[in-house]
Amino acid sequence: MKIEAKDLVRTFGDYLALDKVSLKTEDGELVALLGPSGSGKTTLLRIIAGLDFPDSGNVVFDDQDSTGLKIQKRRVGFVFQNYALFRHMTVYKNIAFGLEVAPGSRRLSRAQIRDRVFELLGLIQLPSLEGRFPAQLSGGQRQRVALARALAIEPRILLLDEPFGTLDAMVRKELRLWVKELQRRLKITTLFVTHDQDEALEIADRIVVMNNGRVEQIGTPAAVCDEPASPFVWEFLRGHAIY
Amino acid sequence: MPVESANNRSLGFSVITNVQIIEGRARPPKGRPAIRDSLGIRLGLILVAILFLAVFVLVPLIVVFTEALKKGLGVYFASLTEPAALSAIELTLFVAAIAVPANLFFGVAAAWAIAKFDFPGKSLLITLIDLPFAVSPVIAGLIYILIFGAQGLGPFLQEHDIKIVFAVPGIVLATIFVTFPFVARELIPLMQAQGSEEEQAALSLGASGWQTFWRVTLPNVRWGLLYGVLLCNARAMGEFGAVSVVSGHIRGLTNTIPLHVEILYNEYKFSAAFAVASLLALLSLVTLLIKSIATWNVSASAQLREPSTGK
Repeated sequence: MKIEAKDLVRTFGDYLALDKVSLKTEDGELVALLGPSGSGKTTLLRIIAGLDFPDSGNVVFDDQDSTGLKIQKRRVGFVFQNYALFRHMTVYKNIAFGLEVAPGSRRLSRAQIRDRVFELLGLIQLPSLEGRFPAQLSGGQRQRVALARALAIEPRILLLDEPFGTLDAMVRKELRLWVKELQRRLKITTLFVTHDQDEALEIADRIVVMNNGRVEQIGTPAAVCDEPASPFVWEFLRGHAIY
Repeated sequence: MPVESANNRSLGFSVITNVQIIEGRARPPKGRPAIRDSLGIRLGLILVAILFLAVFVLVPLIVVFTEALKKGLGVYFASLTEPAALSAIELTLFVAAIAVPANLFFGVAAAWAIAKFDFPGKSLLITLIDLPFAVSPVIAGLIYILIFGAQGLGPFLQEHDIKIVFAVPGIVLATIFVTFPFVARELIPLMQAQGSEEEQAALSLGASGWQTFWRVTLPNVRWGLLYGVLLCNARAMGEFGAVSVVSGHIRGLTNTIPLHVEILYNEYKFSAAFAVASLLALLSLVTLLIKSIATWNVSASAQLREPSTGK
């Protein structure tokens, strides 16, 4: 699905978090929202998800205005920075949650839910951990469970907030390539927030560089590296290169 | 000393050994963390705590049971089954059966509002929840006398034949007032610490607000909730001051267990008084037992919540 943001403005009191932010993604694209902390990238992601609403501006999914659409109706897969796994539920129950709360008419049968959960467990390569609780998993495993939980509802888009932020360096590199490959395979439009230049340059199809609530540049990794649109972009990406 | 400095250069370890010998007396104690005090202090503190608890808690508790059983089991059970005692027990259970669910509902609602939303007057609400802890229960009782008694709505209520003070409704109201902080106070810090990310995740997965509450919010605080309900219940059944003021002490009608104990005691029926009192003591022991199981569960799940290190 294509995502479009039009002139989004969001203020928190006196603080201008988003200052007329616009962007457009193609279907099946992996887009990084890159910027220093406080640049508004997470706010933008939350507004696209429906976890927050803009003061003005529009969110458009596939040419349909969805600005006022409730989060439950948006069918977005959201992965939180700290994963926000349900700590009192097993991995199985976590992944099945979105399927079990679906309204009666759309709810799958028990057996169908079971099949779907095990299919997803295979997809995230944790086939035998369905009985574990989140606290019994490593950081990398939790992240993959959070991803499976988000994918269970067959979301139209995938939104990841600092998906690799809390992992140690080794796991982070491994996981981001895995996520990239998964995204390719599922062909699902994906936005992810990061403050890590290398991460964005390595896996994103396009990068949205943000600063102070504004979009500084949107382009492919090569474009933002080779032809920075502003001094900020040049400064922010200096010393980082495409692999 | 030239010889020594030459030594130092060739043998790095000798320096360290020398220092240790010279400062032998200041050597740090081995094998225990710096914050742990010496054995004497530790034993002293533990002893003080045990003695204090024994004198002020354990001995009185034992006295209650020995006095209650002094004249034998026959007298003990007779004191519990005489009509006035039975009606007091019945009324106490009835009052708790209203007050505890009411405060459970109020406590969850208030904690939910305070922990998950920002609204004007929030800190005022938190202060108000603590009010019953700060106000003497006798005052709490008097408030209801003033509102519903002869000086307040009394004449109006009498006209319509509604009895509140010196009747069961007054006792229920006073009990609710005195016990309403317990559940809310237990839940607020718990819910605040947990934040609302799991709820947001549930919403993003399509759950309604109601489903989110039942499936995510409530299960996450269940042990704290149980503890709050237990404390609330213990206080509801044991409350004396506020209930005493509004009850009117009508035997068989408006006497709760604590009031009944007082009456028996004032009539020099010590064995009977202690027998009935032992019921309340038993209640508190059971409450503590369940509480310690709940606390154990809370700390166990809190430990599980800690993010594990490494991959």
